[in-house]
Amino acid sequence: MAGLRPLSPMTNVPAIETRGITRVFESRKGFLFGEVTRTEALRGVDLSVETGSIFGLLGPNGAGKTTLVKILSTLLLPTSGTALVLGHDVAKETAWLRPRIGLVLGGERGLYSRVSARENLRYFADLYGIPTLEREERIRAVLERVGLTESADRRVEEYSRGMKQKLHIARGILHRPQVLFLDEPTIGLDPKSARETRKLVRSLISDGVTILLTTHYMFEAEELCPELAILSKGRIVARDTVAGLRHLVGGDRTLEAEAYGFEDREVETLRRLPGVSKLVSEEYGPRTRLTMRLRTLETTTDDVQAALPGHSELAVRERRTSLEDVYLDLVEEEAA
Amino acid sequence: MAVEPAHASRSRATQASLRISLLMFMADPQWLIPSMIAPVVFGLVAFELFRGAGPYFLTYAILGAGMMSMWGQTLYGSGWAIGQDREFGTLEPTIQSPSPYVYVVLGRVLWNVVSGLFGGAIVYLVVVVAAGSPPAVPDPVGFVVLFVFVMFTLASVGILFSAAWVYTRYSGFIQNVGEFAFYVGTGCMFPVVLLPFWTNPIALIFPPTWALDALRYLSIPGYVGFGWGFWPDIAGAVGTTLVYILIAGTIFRRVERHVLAKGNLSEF
Amino acid sequence: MLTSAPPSVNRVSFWRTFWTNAVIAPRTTLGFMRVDFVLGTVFIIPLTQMVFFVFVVQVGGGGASEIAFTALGNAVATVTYSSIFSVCQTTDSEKQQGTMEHLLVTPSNRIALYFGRGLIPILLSLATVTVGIFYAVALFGVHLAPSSLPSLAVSVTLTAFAMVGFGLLLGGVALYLRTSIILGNIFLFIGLLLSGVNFPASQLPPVLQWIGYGFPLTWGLDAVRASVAGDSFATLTVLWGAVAIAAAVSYGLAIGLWKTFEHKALSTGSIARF
Repeated sequence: MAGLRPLSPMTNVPAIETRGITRVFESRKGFLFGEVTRTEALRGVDLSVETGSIFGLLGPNGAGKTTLVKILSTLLLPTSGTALVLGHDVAKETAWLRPRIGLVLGGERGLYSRVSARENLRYFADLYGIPTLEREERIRAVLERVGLTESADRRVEEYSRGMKQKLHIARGILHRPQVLFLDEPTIGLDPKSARETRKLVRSLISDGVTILLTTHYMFEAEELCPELAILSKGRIVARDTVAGLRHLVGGDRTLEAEAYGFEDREVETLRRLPGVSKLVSEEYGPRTRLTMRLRTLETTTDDVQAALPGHSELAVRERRTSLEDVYLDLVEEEAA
Repeated sequence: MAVEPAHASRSRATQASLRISLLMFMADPQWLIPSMIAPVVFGLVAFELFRGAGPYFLTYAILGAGMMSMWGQTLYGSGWAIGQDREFGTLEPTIQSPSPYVYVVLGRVLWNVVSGLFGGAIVYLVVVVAAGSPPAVPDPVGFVVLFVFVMFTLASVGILFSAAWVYTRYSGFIQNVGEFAFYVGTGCMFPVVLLPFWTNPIALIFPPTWALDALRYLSIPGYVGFGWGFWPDIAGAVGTTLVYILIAGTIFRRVERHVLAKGNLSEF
Repeated sequence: MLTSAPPSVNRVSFWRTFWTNAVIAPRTTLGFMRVDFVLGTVFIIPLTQMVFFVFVVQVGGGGASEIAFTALGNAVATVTYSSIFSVCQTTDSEKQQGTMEHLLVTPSNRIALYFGRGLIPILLSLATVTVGIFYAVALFGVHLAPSSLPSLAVSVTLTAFAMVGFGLLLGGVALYLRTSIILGNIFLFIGLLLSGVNFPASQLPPVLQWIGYGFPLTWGLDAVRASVAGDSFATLTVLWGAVAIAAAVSYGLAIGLWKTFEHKALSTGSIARF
């Protein structure tokens, strides 16, 4: 199988480890470029990812996800701090690391559009030193794995976005890396292509490789990542399993009550119900929604309805606290 | 058990780069047009302007125009290929691969050496057709061999200048501005000794200056040039070319560190 | 919520589109407003190109008059960089950045959209030729009488307009091709040979002279030379008329080509290819 390279189960060095990573970008503008603007993309990131796991990194646009991925994949130097991949320093040991890591940045660029997918892969196979005798078979196998066999000899400029994304992934796994960085692998893809890509990523996990996946699709992170961190404004604001993160924001049960407005005393009553750890009020046009997080099972929808008599148009429902709830709560807290 | 990753070979990186340059060119061969027109124009302009240069004006015209054509193709073509990597977004994945980038650049430069030779051949044909007869060259075989050697001295400069393209996206502009200054400074169309003496040391920094002077010694009877003769010119060309290659290796490592620190690899 | 009346459509004025493209497009695509770009294009390229060809002429046995001829020719010829190349590169840049499609989907008047991009190149071209002529006069023995300055100003201005028009014409083809810099290169080289830059066009075979006079640069150069030489107003008027016609034909063809190749590019999907 054109798979990835499993590591020895005895290894106990984290596959990825960062300590206090910062990254500042400077840009110059104005007359004679005298005006300097400094942007802190990363502000002290500490992260550790165990070998053979898939780890999710969530965050809003501009949080620093791609910056962190580029640092870990040796495409960017940190301003300060240390980043180790497979126990080796990304800034000082790039020659050792590059054959062992793969990077999938995705997008419309990053491929030689005037030649075929096969030629693109041949080129990078040579740059990665894949043995000549194995090269064509390896290319055939990864093309099959990503579902591009039929269109392998068409020019990349004729490819759809989903096909280009698959080709990016094919290139990323061609040399059998031990650590794979996937930066928003399904962004801009239609649902079918996105599902196929997630299926592919799941199949990569079974090869025993360490994967760091960045995304801002919550369901994707929930589906693929047993553990994840949320990055906001260059800092990690939370890191845990999905269940742990739910607990962090007040419990994995959520009750919602919606009506044409609530009185303050009603809101206070709901806040005092057993197990309610957090209550947020939001306006949706003429309607108000009260969202409660609960740590225990004591309070039910009946209790909420009983606490809000006189609302004929009241709607109460229960759902599981989603990762999106967690994300929004944490990111908004950080913004505040 | 973990298996050692494949070992990235420098020669394979160069071959791969040469191959992809060829494929990209064949996919879009419209660049053939200026590659053919430029030498024709240079050849005819040189032919007209050198009419009064004495009995060997044909040789001067061929060498001068040929050099301009090849200089442009090798130097700017190499740099432009890196610029294209920036535009396509393929600079990042290429630098992220384990192959040292300078060997990838070497492949691009070699492709442009080959296309430059093609331009040189066109110049020769154009000037000969315009003159009605070929120039009298004392040692035709030596001429061809040295001509090819000149190309490799150009390539050594091309590799170094390509580093500028990795460093900044504005290199194309810098090269456009410096184009004719290079033609003057390296004596491609006329001997550097005709310029003010203070320009001569600057010209001697460039390997093609030595090689071209040697080529003129070989092909123009009575040619004086710098005055130290054919073999010292060859030694100078070889020496400076080796120095450029050594510098290129160091500079590319530093340029790579610089762009990784600056974070402008994805800009175009 | 649906309303009974359709939403009103914003009408964008021709001049607003023209001005936006004139000012914003060069900054976004080429960094025209960069000091180093302007310094290089206006001050350095004319000098280096002129020095090169002057030395070639000297080696070729040319005397003072040939040197002056070449210097003045190159002073004007370098307008190619700031006219043809800059317009072509603007189009190429839009394609590379993926913004061309977003431009074409707007309801903007096409003439304003495309021709607005020619304004800054016209100014740059004027500056380039002026500086080039200064070098030719100051360094290479071109004699310019003060009485010739007004006519020279007219000749230079018309040439700049005409060359930018030619650049816009080539830029239109660029919508369909992958890149138009190739065209810029072709006409740069052809101009050096056929436009009387380094030697009189009359030295060329008749058929090549005819081709040469199909380019605005050839007429512009004739007008500039006539101005510098202090030729009669009647002679100058004829030449100005010729440059003006070359400019009008260039702009006219540019409009036609932009529309034709926009349609072709949209039909074949090549608008996004580079």
